[in-house]
Amino acid sequence: MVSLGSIMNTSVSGMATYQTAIAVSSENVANADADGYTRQSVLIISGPEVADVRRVYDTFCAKKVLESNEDQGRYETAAKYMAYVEAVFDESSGYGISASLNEFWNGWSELVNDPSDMAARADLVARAESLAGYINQAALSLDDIQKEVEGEISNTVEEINDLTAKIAALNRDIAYAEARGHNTNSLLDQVESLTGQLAELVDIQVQTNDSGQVNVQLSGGRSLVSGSTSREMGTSIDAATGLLNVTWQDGSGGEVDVTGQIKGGVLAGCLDVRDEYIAAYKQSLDDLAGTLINEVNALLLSGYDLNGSAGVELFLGAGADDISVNPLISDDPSLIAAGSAGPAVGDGTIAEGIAALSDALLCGGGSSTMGDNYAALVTRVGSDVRSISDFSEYYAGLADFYADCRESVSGVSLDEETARLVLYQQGYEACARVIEILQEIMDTAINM
Amino acid sequence: MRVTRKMMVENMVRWMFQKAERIQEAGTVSGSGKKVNRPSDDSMGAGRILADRTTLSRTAQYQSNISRLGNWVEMDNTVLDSVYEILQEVESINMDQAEGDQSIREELTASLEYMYGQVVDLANTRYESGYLYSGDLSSTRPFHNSSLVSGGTAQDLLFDLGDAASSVAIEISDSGGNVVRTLNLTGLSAGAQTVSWDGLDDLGLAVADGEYEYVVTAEDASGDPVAAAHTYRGGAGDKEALIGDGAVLRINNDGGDIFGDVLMSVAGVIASLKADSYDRTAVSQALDHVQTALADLEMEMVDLSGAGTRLENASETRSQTLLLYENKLSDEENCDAGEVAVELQTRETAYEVTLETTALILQMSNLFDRI
Repeated sequence: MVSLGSIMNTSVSGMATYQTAIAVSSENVANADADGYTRQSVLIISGPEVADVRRVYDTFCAKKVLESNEDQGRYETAAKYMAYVEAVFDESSGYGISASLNEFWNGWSELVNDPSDMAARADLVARAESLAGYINQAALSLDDIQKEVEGEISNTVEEINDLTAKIAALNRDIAYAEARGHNTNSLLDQVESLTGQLAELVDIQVQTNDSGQVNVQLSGGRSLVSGSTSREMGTSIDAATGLLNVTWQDGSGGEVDVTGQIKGGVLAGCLDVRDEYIAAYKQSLDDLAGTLINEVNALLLSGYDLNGSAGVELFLGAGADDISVNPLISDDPSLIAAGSAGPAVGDGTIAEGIAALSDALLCGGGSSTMGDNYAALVTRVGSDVRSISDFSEYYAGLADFYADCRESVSGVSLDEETARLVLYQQGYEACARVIEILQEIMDTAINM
Repeated sequence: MRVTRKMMVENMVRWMFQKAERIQEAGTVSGSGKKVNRPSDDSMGAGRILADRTTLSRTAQYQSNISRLGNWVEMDNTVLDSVYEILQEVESINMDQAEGDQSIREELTASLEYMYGQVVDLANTRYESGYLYSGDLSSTRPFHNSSLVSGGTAQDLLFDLGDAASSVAIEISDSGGNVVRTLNLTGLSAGAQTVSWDGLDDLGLAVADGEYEYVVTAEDASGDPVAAAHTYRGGAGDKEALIGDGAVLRINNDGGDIFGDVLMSVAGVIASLKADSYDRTAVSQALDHVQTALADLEMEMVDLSGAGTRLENASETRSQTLLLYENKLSDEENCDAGEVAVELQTRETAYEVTLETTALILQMSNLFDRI
């Protein structure tokens, strides 16, 4: 015969079980819109008892979320800065390097008509100043963007260190909770959120051990978090380029340059923009400025000005940053050496030669004119920006997709929880009812 | 697939942003009227547009150069026509008339001297800020028999002799027309002469600073006049302009080349008529020289006409290029307003549909409401 006591125990146990189940469901409902929350589900086994409150979680999904965060972080960051870079080369208004280069060549063409015309000379000086100005501006703007990028690299490294420290601390808390048999689901959610944020900043590998602690390494294998210790990253200035390198502390006092191994996240995006794109565009601008300065000056130095004196340079400087008009000529345009022989005020041979430079294949190893070379640069910038922007959209879409995957597995469905709550509530009431019936039976038995 | 409400709402929000972005893109194109607002809109197009603008700009400059040179050529033509007419008059003098009558010869001489002066004036025609016929020394007057005295130093006296002269007299006059000094030289050969003047007058006193005109009279051993003409003081070189890519049009503006012989030939006729006894052969030879000068001048005018034609053709070609590239740029840069308006409308509609769908989802009832 089954004792009343054991029936009572079963029912009481049942009530406790259903109460726990209701608690878990309620927690799910309360956290339905919390970012990064992983729903929990109860496993009720015969007893009844709650065998497990487990986190509903897909490892593959989580991994893909991290990966797509890395790519999204990288290309979103790159796209952001490339939009600024693009503005430097945008001549849709009709003003810019290309237009002012055209005006510059035209100024020499005009001078040939009457080399002695002081007004034409003064105009030519103005056009030269305008051209130098636009080139300076482009170079300086690129420098400014580069500085911004460097700033972001610094800040990102600090953020990374902040996150890894937090993850290490959570690892410690998880170990502590596990040892005491506490539910670690909330801690695990926090860790997942932090690694997600970290992946946006730099590409990482993540391993989770059985107790839920997380080890994080950089893609090259260098440890960022190992148990409750974290290793910091830093920056150092490269002796050759003057730009920042990204470093990693190896734990025995050494700083290792890891710049070349970073392939994902905001850091990679910054490095892409700084080292691949801006560096190349600056080089192109410098080449253009250098060619302009050298070719024009060489011709002028071989000629004679309006006063019959040997010609002086029109452009000072060596590259895009410092190209400027010789103040001697700005003050006195008669010093422009338009002629090729002695004091012949009507001689415009040198001016002809300079006007002809507009057609000369001086760039691209002898394959394009200066104007064409710049137009090609603009095309290149446009296509680089387009491709990064396309990647950015693509990876954003991919990140959204995997976020949806995760949400599908781990997200809370209010309708589902409502159904469960009703189920557990009815179970709870059923057990309570059984206890009521038992009480009546016991009363009957006692009062016999 | 398990779908939560959070997923649905987040998806709808993403779609809303995406549709809104597409409206903004269409709006930019519509507002600016341009297809390419940034290089990344169409990178190949952006590069092409710059290249085409360069061609357009350069061609417009050529057109301007052509126009300016065209004005110059007109001026040049006018002058050469006038000089030609004068030279024709010189060539047509009646030798028989001159033979018979001393007074007629004197009239003719005066008339010819006047015509000589006219040619000098025409050769000295100014243009813009300089002279038409000075070559590359465009601010130097091509033909003048004058010496500038400055700080006591006098410029050398330059002139050309048609033949060797055994005696030459140079009368130097001040601005009032008074002869202040007469220089006498002997045994000069034919050709260009440079005579220095110490800046002193006949009394040996230094003359005041200023411009002094001089007149050259030359005679040969037999006492017959020798032709003396102005020396060309300008430079060599051409009048040039860039009329196309690598195309420079050069026009001769060397006054010595164009007018040197003209002047000497007229001076030659004057000299032959001034002889004490009329020498028909000498006069005939002088007139032959004028004929040669006429022929050369004609060649010069033919060259000029050729240049004029080249200019016209170049202008025509440049105009066509301008039109072609203006149209090309317009196609490349400008968007079709109608097309863009329709696209904008389509995108706005898409956005509205997204909004409606989102509203629908947000208003969906849940299980809880029904229990």
